[in-house]
Amino acid sequence: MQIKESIGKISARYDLKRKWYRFSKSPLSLVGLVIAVISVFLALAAPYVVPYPTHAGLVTNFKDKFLPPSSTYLFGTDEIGRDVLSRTVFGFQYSLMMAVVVLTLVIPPGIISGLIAGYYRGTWIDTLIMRIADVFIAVPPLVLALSIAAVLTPSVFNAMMAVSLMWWPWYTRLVYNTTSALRNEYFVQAAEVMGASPLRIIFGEILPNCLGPILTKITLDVGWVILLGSALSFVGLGAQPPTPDLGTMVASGGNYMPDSWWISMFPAIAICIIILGFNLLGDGIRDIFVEEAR
Amino acid sequence: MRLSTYILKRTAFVIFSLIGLSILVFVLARVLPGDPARMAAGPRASEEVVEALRRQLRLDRPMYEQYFYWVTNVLHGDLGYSLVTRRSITADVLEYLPTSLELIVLAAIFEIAGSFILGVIAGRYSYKWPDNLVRVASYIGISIPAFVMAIILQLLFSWTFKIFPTTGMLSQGIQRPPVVSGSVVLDALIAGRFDAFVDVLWHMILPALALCLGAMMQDARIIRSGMVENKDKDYILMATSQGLPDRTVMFKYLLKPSVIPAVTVMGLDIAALMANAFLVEIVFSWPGFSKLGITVMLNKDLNAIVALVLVIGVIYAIANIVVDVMVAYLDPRIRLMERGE
Repeated sequence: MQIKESIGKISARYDLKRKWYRFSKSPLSLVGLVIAVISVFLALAAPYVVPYPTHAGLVTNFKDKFLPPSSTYLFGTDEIGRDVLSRTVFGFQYSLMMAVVVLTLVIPPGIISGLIAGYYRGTWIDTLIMRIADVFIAVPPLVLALSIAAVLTPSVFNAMMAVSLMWWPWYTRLVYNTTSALRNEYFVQAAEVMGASPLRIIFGEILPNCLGPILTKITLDVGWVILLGSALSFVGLGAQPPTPDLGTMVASGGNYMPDSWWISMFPAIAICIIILGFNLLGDGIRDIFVEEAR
Repeated sequence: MRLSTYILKRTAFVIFSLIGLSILVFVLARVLPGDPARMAAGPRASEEVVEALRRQLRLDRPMYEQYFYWVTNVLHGDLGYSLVTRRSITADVLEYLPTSLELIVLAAIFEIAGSFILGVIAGRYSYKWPDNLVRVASYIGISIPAFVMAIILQLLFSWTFKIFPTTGMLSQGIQRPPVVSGSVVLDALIAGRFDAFVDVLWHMILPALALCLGAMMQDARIIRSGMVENKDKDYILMATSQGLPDRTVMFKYLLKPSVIPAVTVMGLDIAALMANAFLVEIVFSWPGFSKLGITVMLNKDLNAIVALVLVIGVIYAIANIVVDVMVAYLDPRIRLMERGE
């Protein structure tokens, strides 16, 4: 028994090592990982690493307003003299918080509904779940999210709710496709013949085999949720000023273009870099699982 | 024949989703906090006035009755009354939608043309520098949100280099042609106003590019992968060994199966175009659907929000059916699979 356990441990460690080896072969994936780690670090440590932590809120410093990038203010200052660099780093907090909250809310219902619909493929349960999911996909996500955020009164929290409400069907669809493909595999049929309960088959046999695509999608989605969140606050339906949200900062800086381009350009570039990082990371994770399947 | 059955099937399916969507947005607008009658009457109206308005708007009836009343009106082309613009929403939609659609159509044309050209070049010179360039561009393209792209293009090409106009639809001094179709490009052509036609197109280039660049790079990459994958297949080898010229092999045999995945993705791209138009129009102050949309959203005009979501849903559905039909036309396997059922 003990030997078996330690073999299990060793093989798990070996498996992880092999995955890491595959991942580390691609420089782009590594770049993605580095960007993702740095973003998370900056978000967590924002108050300790930025030069002017108080500038995150509604602080006025009129004597330094509209200063171009310099050694005192690396990214320049905004219309009331706040340091754009500090605010951008604080913006990472809101963006990543948005991604974490939305994905935590969305993944469990998405996965479970997809598993159930896929397992009972062809029955009324399948039809019911998938048709409901289709309704949420019948409009471009951003439009539905904007409308829901507007109906709920704009705020960071309501923006998260709005994005979550229209995001789950994508997980349902993904898991549904994988599940209905796995449904006819021998190992599932074998479990069925041995009298395993549907619950056991769904969570014990099918779910572990869906994890690759799910993990890939989660990583890619961090970027997309951040994009959608910043789009919401860009039009004024998400975070409200003075919250240092990247989208809000891009929008308010737009009023001072082109003379004070740095106010909106640096937060805008920050959005792009976060999205790029999680996209590269997601591609890297996908490659691990695709190669493994071969 | 077969294709028509397929279209019918898809249409029925889409109509079902739209009914669901209409229920969803209607219920959301009614369930969420806020009294529509109070909002319509204004904060200082007396309780009797609000009560009368509530009865007039049938808000005192059960929800399903309200819904059927509303749907009947929608089917007759009456989307309701906007509390913000103080006029019929149908009129608002008819005024603002065409200008947005012309922007989206131009963006779609750019996207399709650009992705084909870049994709074919990258596929033809795979693993050489044009291919690498397209790959890098696609990574950059996917990470730049359309509204950021809009700001960057505006900063570069209209503020710094002053090639394109910064905002708006027509230059000062050029009158808008008489409204016939609602689309300024078409109206200018109908009125024979060549100056307005050129001017509008000139104003449209940057917003359209901002809308489509990201998706264009993505599609180019998909076409490129398809071509690289199919290049080694036996039927291409056969065509080449039979002495067909390179050009014929490439455009007649290689391209068609390689674009199918890209066309499928274009369904999603249309969604992206429509949604991003909301943001890009703001940056360029384009007087389109988003101006209306954002105004009613910021003012919490429930009737109008519900109507706009439904209108966008219908357009999106039509666009998706067109894409599905195109895919079915390009890929005989889909048609034949339907026959097998």
